[in-house]
Amino acid sequence: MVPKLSQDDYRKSNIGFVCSQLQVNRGLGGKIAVRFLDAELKVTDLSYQDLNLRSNQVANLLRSEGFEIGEKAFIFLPKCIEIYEIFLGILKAGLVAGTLFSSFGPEALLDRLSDSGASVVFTKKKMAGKIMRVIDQLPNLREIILIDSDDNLELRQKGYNQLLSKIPTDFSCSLFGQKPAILHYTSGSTGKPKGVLHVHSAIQSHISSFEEVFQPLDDDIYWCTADPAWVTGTSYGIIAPLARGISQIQYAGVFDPSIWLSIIEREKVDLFYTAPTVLRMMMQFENEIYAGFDLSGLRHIYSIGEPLNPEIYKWGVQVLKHEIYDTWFQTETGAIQIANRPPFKIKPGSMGMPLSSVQMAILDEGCNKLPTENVGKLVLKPGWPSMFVGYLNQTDSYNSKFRCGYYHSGDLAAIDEDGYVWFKGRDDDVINTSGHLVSPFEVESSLLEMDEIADVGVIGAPDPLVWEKVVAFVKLKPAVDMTSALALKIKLYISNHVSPLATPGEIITVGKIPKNQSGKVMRRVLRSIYNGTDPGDMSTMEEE
Amino acid sequence: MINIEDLSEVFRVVFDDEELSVTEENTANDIEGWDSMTHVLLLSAIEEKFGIEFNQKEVRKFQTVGDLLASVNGKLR
Repeated sequence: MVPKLSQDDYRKSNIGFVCSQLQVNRGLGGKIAVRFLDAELKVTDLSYQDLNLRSNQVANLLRSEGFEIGEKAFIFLPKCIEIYEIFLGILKAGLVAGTLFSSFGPEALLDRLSDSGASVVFTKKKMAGKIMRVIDQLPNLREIILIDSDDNLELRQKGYNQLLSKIPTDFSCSLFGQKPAILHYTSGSTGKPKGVLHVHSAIQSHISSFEEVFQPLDDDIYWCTADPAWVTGTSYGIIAPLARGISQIQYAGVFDPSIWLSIIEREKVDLFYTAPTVLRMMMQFENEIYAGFDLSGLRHIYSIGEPLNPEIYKWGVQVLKHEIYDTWFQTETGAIQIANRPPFKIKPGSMGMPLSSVQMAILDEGCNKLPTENVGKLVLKPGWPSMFVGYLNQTDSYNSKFRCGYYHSGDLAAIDEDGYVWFKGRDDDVINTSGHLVSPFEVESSLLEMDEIADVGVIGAPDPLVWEKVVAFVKLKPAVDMTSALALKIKLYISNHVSPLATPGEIITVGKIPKNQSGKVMRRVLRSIYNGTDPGDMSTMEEE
Repeated sequence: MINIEDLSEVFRVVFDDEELSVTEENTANDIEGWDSMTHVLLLSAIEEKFGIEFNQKEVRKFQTVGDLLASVNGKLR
């Protein structure tokens, strides 16, 4: 009998310790923690004991290299088996683990590494080239540790395997509780990306929400398809399943519905957590593809990222023969707050009901609670363990999220008479594309660096595949004409400098970008132009 | 007719990697960053560079760089 863990075990603890050593202490050392399938489906198993020893080595490595508690260590890697030991090792050593999408370009990297004062980055040789382009602007970055190369090292680079070869596997872990643990950057509608900080005791929310929503059994096989750089990938792709002591699958290959379903079938996946964009991509293939797979072993499918359209739910029931449970949370909340989950009946299109510990309300502009069926601001009573503890270096922005005793999510929603929550939109300009938040400001700032562009304004617009696409309105410099070649150049510029996620899906040439008298882009007017509707009050618009 | 080096040149621009060189056997799994998002950009860049157009059905059939090369050359013929 494997001993159960109490909330006290989690509250006082260290995420790195709970996800490895504590599982070994429970007698799970020989159990598979992560079964990693590379792009060719070659299997590498990592047991809880392996994970514990290797993450101990990473913690020792950081200490021996002189990194101290509280310093920021970033992971800039594609999906790979090393991510788990590095993430947990950073936390065991008391450093703050920051995440970066492997698709980020130099500008996106500079924004995040510079703002955080990052001390060390774990990456691959080839990807390090993007950091090297901006390294002169990163004086605090002392080491770039390459997991795939010990040779031909450049400035500040070190080889991971060479370093680990001399490092012991025993490490005495301190319990950090309320100390900072994880740093995710998220986009707001204004300014640069903000560093969202969570503490070690956030693990209480990860595990309690995992139990309430996913309801895992001890022998379950779990697969969360989220990138580990995304909050879902860390909270539910690393922390929750490891803290629960179950086995999980990770796959490094690109999306292919046949391969993904064959993995579910072959590996006997019980719980599958993915994104609506993935499900919409699956819907584009002929239904016959799915007929050959036996998914009867799969107990539940869950979704996260952007609202799950009723069409996807119906398709899941008809084609995959499974209901799809939509869930809701944000980088700032750290863990699921609202969800469809068994045994409650799903209302297609609703994000479900608040979890048992969550106090949620819908407020009007004056902070008054709205009755059912009314659209207002989705707010949460603060105090849950995984609530973010700050935006790094942006105290005012952090404080602005808490008003009249509630955390304001920025989402607009309504609650029906049965307690189900329905997403209705955002009350800011952030663009949700494939479940990732894109800041219009970040895209605008980057585009203004292009020689051909005089001015730019960016909005999000509905898209049938990715929920919202990035739409860029550009004013070109004199004598520059919009051509298909220039449109492609603009897209590639954002893809390579910021991220493929932020790439405009549509580019519209205009003679003038509407701005108010303080010079701020009037996105409301751009949205009206895009939708062909009346822009309303234009009295604050700047004159020529 | 184009060759694999012509196609490599487009890959280098799209994936911002001056050292990238593709082979006909390569798949999306072999090239860092080649996912559903960059795939759209890649096809747009190939269309622009060689003055061709792909249709949706063709796009789904591409498994390897060799498939892409054959399709481009089929259209240029």
